[in-house]
Amino acid sequence: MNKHLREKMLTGLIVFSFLLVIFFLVLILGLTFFNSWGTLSLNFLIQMPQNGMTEGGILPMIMGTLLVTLISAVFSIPFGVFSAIYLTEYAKDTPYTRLIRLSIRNLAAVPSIVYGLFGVAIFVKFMQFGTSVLSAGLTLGLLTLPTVISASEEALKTVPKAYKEGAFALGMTHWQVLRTNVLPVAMPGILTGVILGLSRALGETAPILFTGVAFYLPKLSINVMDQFMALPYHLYIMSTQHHDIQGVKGIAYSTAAVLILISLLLNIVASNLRYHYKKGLKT
Amino acid sequence: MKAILKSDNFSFFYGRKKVINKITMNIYEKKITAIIGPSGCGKSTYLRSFNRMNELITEVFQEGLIMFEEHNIYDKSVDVVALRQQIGMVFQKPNPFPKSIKENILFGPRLHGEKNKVILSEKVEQLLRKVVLWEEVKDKLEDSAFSLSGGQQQRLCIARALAVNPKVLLMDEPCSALDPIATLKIEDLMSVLAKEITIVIVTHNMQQAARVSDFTGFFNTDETRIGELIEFDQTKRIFTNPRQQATTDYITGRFG
Repeated sequence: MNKHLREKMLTGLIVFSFLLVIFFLVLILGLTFFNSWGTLSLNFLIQMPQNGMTEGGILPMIMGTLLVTLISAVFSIPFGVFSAIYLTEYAKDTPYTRLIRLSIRNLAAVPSIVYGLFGVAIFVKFMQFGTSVLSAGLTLGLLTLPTVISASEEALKTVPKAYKEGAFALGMTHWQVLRTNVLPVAMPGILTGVILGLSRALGETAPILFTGVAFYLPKLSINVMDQFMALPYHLYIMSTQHHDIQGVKGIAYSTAAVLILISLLLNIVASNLRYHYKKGLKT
Repeated sequence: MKAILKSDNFSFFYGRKKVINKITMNIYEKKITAIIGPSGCGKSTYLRSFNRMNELITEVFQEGLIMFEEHNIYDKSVDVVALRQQIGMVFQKPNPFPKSIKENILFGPRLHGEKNKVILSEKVEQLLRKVVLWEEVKDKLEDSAFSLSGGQQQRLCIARALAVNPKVLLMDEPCSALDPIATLKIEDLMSVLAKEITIVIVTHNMQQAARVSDFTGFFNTDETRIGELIEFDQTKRIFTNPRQQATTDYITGRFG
């Protein structure tokens, strides 16, 4: 085949792939927001669901999702980042640590329903947290951990050795070196991992299904030992389990839109933080 | 003349591999001691043994002694962190931290607990003057340290090391990444600093050793790749009338 022709075909294929991706992205966003037109409003965000969830808003679902995400963040960020610090800064490079690293990578690929099952066994039953915000949050936290650890590890590895050596040579303790010269430099990368992990947790249904989410609760509670409603599960109910699926289509799509917007918000916060940390470093 | 550092039959291993063998030599107080020798002869490893930097990288092991002010620095009771404060280090490649010029200098003092703003800002000026950088950077102390040239960065790193008041300054080929003019500035600075502190410099550049140092240790290695001290003496003697044939061969440029 003529090499110019091959060049053209390949370029065509690359451009086509790119356009296809853009097409689906626009389609998803477009369809979601188009169908939520008329339902999605400020009131929708701050009202309780009414009339068998055919009217009203999704305030408790938003609260529930935010609350479980918060708990999973509180659980997974410190443990994840500290584990990553252990793996990069303290652990010796032995076959065992390599095996542990590999296992952590693979945990990120474990189906979320498996985490759900594990959550029931450990948090709901064994620790007796019952089906609650706490159990669900911790289960999502476990799901987030591998992502946080792997991303933090990669970020910590990119910190130049010279920054560390220079600080050690000034008579700094290991922790001082980490706090002043390693973590600030790795922070943008760590944040990316955290947001990636939390965004995934935020939209998960399977792990919370067994551990605390409820079909419908008449009252809004912020007690972490109570059951809760959540956006992804509500979306599932609205699109498959409701008695009037056609009638609540607007609510379903609006719920999806809110879920997308929360993820977007999370990402905006993350890139602001990233910018903040990068500005703090004078490179 | 007082020996501030003494190594006595000091051998060093990375894992099971011996890299330097039975080094016995003294580092004299407020003098400049140069360590020269071909690549791979263990001179950097030896230098980094004085502030125990080698153990940061991998499993290491040593035999023999290194005495710092009459204490064995490899003794179990030694606080490595305190040791590194007393024995500072300047690296081959200038390694400013991603902070402002001012904060690079204040990095050590701040972490060692100095909070008084007046003392800190006096410190910045005093140290920058000492390394002859003040006139060049006094109007941009808040700028990134990376905005400086290589030579300026290295002088900043020297100032940063001096900021924690070390008694000894280890310099690991501090000019190998610099141009000749920047190199001369560092050498001038070393002579000034040696009035107050002890300097040990590893260098590939024999002229540099001849120009700046009072004492020179010549390291060499053979096919075993284990570094040994061939000869240690006053620099004058090493460069004019060495005792060993290998030293003569090296300084006349026959190998290395």
